[in-house]
Amino acid sequence: MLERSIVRTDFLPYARLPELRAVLEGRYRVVWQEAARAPGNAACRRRAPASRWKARALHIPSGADFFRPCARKWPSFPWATPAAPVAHQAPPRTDKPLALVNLRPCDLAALRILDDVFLSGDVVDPFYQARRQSTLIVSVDCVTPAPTCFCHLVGGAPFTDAGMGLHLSPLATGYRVHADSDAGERMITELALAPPELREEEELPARRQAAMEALAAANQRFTLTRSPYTTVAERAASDRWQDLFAGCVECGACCRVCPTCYCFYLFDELTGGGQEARCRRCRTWDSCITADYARMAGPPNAKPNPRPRLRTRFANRFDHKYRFHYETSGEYACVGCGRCAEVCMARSDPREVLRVLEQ
Amino acid sequence: MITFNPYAPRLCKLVEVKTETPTIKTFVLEMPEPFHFRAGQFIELTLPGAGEAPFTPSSSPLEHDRLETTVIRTGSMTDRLHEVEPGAWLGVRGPFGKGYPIEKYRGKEILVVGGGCGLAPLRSLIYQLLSESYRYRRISIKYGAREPDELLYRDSYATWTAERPNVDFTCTVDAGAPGWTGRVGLVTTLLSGLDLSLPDTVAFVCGPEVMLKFVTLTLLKEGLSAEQIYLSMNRRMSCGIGQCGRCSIGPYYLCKDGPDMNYAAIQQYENVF
Ligand SMILES: Cc1cc2nc3c(=O)[nH]c(=O)nc-3n(C[C@H](O)[C@H](O)[C@H](O)COP(=O)(O)OP(=O)(O)OC[C@H]3O[C@@H](n4cnc5c(N)ncnc54)[C@H](O)[C@@H]3O)c2cc1C
Ligand code: SF4
Ligand code: SF4
Ligand code: FES
Repeated sequence: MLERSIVRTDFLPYARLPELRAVLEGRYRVVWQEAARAPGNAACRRRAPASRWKARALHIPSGADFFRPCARKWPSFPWATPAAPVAHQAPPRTDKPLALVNLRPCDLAALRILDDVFLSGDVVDPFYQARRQSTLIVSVDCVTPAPTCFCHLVGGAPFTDAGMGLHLSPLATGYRVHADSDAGERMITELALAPPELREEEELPARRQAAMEALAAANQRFTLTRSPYTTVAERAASDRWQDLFAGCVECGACCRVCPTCYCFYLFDELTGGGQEARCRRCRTWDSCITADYARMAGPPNAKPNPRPRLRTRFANRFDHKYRFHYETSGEYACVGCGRCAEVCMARSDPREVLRVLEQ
Repeated sequence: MITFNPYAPRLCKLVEVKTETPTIKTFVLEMPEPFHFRAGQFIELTLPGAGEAPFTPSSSPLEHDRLETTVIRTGSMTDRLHEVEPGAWLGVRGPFGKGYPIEKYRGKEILVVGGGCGLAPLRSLIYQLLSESYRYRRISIKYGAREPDELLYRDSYATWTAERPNVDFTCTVDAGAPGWTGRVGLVTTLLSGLDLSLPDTVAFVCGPEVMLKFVTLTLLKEGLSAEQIYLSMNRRMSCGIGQCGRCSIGPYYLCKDGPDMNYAAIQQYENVF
């Protein structure tokens, strides 16, 4: 599998951070996720290069953007007279593997949800799997929450002891470093780090508690009295939904940026004609907020649709994340990263939805 | 090295097209390698350029080198599919879904209820049941279509019941036509006063949404419990493997947990019918 339990804990003084960078850059194509969310982590901060990921979105990309089935085209194959067995696989990559640096605990939680979808079923997504296996994930505890963060309301925390490769916890003079994978362990072996001193270990609980308190303080306006599950399950028929979706323009941005949204659609592109016809299977992101997402076949003006109204589609997003996923796995399919609230032009914020529904 | 792409279809040759009714055709595919499926499982069928859509095999699960699927013409992909001639190549992915849990009901009375094109998916179940009919106390098949012309597989009904005293077949049409001497009325009229031992009965129902709804209500009224009713639920699908998200009913993905769902599992969710 992709992860294993903690294999090693060491200490990286801030002064030696450039060495970690050098080792990472020697082995990997490194993508530095911007850390604007956690200004306290200045040492690890570095602007993301103007990659195609950045160009597309204003929000801070989550790790999910690198794995989940985004727009993808597989090699085309002849259709009219198929001769050889179809070669569907993409050519193997020969360049360096990817390292994603600066993911947050919520990004890891989101990746676990995607792993569940794409790796645990009867049929795994081999493309997702290959990328997940070859990518080193370097994550960091959060120190200062962004105004939209609310991981603590959905069972998360701004810190974790379960990384996916290397996990860094900022302390006064350096990082406590956990290696959770062979690749991560290789990295700290190469750096020849020493285990943390007792004094440094002891600092950690207080720092984590402070981070939790800062998060709670930033969310004072959204103090919830019931669990998101209870709220969404019990208020399915609430009139309150009416006000909540009123500003939604069905742009789908909330799904696009959400690190736990995974819906996609398969379609074909046909090129050439006659005996030369070639077909290419394509996969693209999809969003449950759009009207034709679940529309079925039927007579022209009477196509059955289980969610014909925006109200039910809007509510479905919350149903899935806070109710149905919770019923099947005991966990929320929202990690409280706040990205959807950041991008929504109607200023729809999940915390506000939960708060209003509670009333 | 990735050698299998679960999102891309395998190519299969279309060897025969049978016209069943004015709007329904059966497509016979030759499978390049032996194809195994359980009754109730479905495939994703691709017509290049026209798209991919889910259909249930209507041939016998005991047949492995040929696959039949019966398709009603109803939209962009199925319109173009109805124009395709033998010799063309179609894409197949699957089989997907769980299939009917018939093993659980050996020794019981099986009620099969089909509406319109819904008899097509049920035919593979019927073939499976008939091949081992001694295992069930009764197999009772009820079928309704809009008009006599729309009845599927008309030539087969007699062979299904011949020499099998525990199997019966009844059909009805919503509106008769000149020459029609059979029953007239909705399929639900075949379900009142069933001569089955209700506590030992399980019903497998497939058909359009409204039919599913009224058959369910009738069966409940007749005394079946929700646990005794399996419905072939219809939702938009794409991946077939529980990843693309669109076929959900509550926490279930029909492509993975269905498409035949026990009514007891789904009745509590909104928009079931
Ligand atoms: C599990 C399952 C089994 C089915 N078995 C059969 C069968 O044996 N025979 C039969 O005639 N029909 C069957 N259907 C219905 C069949 O899939 C639709 O009639 C078909 O998708 C219509 O496509 P269209 O392009 O002609 O319609 P359009 O309305 O033009 O739809 C456009 C596209 O939407 C998608 N779509 C529309 N309706 C559905 C739907 N109900 N399910 C999934 N995708 C849809 C397809 O990708 C389709 O190409 C089944 C559906 C499901 C879910
Ligand atoms: S981002 Fe906002 S406006 Fe756009 S679909 Fe989501 S809720 Fe609606
Ligand atoms: S629903 Fe919004 S807050 Fe929750 S994980 Fe998705 S983007 Fe983040
Ligand atoms: S068809 Fe994709 S999840 Fe069911």
